[in-house]
Amino acid sequence: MLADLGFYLLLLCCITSIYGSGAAVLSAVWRHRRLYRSSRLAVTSSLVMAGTAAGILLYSLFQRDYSIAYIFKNSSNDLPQVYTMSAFWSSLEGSHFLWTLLLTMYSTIALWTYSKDNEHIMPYVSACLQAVLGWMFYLLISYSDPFVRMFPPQANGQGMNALLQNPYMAIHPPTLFTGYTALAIPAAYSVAALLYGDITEGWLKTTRRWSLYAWCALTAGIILGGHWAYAELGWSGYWAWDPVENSSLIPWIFCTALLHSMIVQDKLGHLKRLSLVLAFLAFFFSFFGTFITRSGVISSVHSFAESPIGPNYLAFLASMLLVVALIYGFRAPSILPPEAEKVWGVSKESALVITQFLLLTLASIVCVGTLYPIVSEAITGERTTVQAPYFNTFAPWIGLGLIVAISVGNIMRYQSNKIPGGFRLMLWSLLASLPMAAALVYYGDVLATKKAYNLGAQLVGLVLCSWSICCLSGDLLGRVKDLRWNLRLFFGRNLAYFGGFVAHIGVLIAIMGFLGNYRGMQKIATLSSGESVDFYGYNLKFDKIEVNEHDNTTLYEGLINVHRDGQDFGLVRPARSKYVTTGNLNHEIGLLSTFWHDLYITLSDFDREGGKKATFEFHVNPTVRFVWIAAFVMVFGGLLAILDRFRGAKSRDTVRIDA
Amino acid sequence: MTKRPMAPMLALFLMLLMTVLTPRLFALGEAGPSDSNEIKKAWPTEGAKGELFHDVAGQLRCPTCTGLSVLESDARFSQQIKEIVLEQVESGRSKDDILKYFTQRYGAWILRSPPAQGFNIVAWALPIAILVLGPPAVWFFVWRRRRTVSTIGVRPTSDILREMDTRLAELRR
Repeated sequence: MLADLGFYLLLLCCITSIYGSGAAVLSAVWRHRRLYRSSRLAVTSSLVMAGTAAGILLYSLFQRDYSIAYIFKNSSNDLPQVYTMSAFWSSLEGSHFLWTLLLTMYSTIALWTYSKDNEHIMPYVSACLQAVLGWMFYLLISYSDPFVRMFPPQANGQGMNALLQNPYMAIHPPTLFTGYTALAIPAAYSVAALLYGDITEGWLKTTRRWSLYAWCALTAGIILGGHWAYAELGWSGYWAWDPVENSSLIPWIFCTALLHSMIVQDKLGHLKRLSLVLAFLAFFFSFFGTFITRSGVISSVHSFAESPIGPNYLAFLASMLLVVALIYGFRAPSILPPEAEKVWGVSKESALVITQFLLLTLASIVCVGTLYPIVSEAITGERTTVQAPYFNTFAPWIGLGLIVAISVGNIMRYQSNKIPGGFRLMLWSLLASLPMAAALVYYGDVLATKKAYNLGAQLVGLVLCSWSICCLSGDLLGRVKDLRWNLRLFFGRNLAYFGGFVAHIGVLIAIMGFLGNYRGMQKIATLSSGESVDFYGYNLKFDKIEVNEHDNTTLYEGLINVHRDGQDFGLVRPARSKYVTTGNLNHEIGLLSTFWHDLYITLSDFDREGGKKATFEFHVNPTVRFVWIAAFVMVFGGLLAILDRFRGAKSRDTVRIDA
Repeated sequence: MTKRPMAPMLALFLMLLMTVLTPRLFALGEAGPSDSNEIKKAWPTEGAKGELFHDVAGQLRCPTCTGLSVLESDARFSQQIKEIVLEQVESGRSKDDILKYFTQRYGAWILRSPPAQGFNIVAWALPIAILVLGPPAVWFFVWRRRRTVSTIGVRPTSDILREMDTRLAELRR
């Protein structure tokens, strides 16, 4: 009964969204204010109805109403409370629903919190957002219906995928979807600016905030996903360049590029069209990624037509691309650059263009690598694989370019080829970076790396990262000094600059963390009870296999006593967990995490009868914690930059009349 | 119309078949310790042979997972491949020989990055082309280009401002 109500609410949402989109278009054409207000009310009512429908699904989940097929497939009676909630987004229909709900929410927020300066483009914004919503709600009532009934209802469900029963999986999807959906707002504003024929005065301020918000959410979401892979999959890594990961990285790269082109737009009024295109592409690729992973096309071209959702997605994406390309083709010439003749030369804006180039190159390499197997199979009929080794041949070079661009670009000045005290700053930074890099090398035990190439890459990377951090810090100090150390003035006026500084430091910390992958170590050993093995200075003694019941699982824990230099680190418990519902054995890793490296232990096999013998995989993963710290730093920087009240407030190329 | 009742029966039969078969199909790719009492072998991690083993196993994809090499995966298929790799490493074969052995058996699909031959050159040439041709393109299109905006009918900003001022002045009057 409730499920039917949920379905009909979604049906109504689809209708209101289509109405809202149509009404917004007409209100723009007729310049009809009340029609626009009605379109805004349409999205608001969609939010109320979709929220109610989500409430129904959540309530049914907690009621364990197995007459709903989605709940039957994704939960069971023994599921703990947290995962009963996260079962909402643990499978396709539910995650599409969450995505739609978030998009409705952010659309509503965007339409109610507009700035007065953007008033005349809001009908277009509303039309774009609700057109997308209309299609998403249509999917929710057709191919991706979370309220499909099941007859007869069962007494217990099939249970949730054991890999998803992890705290990180409870927060990773909502965070990532927040990023994806927040990207829709800048995209809608871009299309609206094109339709209107000009970038309005308050456009940049609003778009910049939404893009920054999306960027923070995407950054957090991606790294949370990495953390999940690290803690749950048991292969001792957090990033495998697999299609699902890549499809979340591509929008992130576009969003980063967008933020950088917006700076040039803000300061000089150039690169406006690039901003428009990037904002749209960031949004487009968030859907495109879902399309390639969800339609099954990624595993093989031939599985494309198996589910009707693939062709549907393709039709939507193609028509969206076509419509926006047409709008752009007709309207872009009306988006004029500022009148002043521009000489790019050597300047900060040129450095930002180079950054754009590097970022977009990275995005296209990731895109080519992800799509190549599909293209190759379609053209030659031969199946190929493109995995980590391919991406790892290119990514470090782009990373190298980005480090240089970050350090040199940030200390440059706009419209000037002179960096005040630039060479001195770079030289002093180099001097200061050497002890810093030396400390990193010493404490990180970098010299233990075996292969010469890996060692070289790390040394170059660490020195460059330290140099970059020193350059940025030196520039920051210089700016504060120019304000005569008036910190109140600095933080009051330059929060955007400071946020950028923090975020860049975060990126550099992350890169230093990635460099640790060059010196990872591994040892595999089969141990009998009481036997011990030495690995990387650790003494690891296997005690026994302990069987523990825990919530809905049975844990087979291999107890390992860890000693190092006479110090007792206590017991680490790598385990295999057996879920009642599926009977598969999943990894529960044993982790001993320090600042400089993680000792990562998986129980790969064990003697089931006596529990006296087991095979373990021991990994030393250096500087993984850097990556987690970097996530916090980057998101913090992004949030600081959102708080800036001045950036983007005036666009130099619009006419201001103060009278 | 007599054939009609067959459809539900067939569907039921297929469903039964699926319920019997599906767990087995999945079991093939499942990670997990074997049911027999024999414990999984420990792979070598040290010495020249250990390094060669790592090198080769890191280049082969796990057939049943996405994104992982056989080295990182403990799916049953990967275990088998690792055993073969270990066998060949111990019999003294070189990296190229072992990789060739697997390509002949499974096709180039088993390699984690496509070999730069035939059509696959595209996958390698494209990023390099972007990296090499991109900077000149940026230079040409962004830095060097003179703007060719049609200025017919466009008035200088000062004129527009003046006109606005006079209109505003008229309104206020």
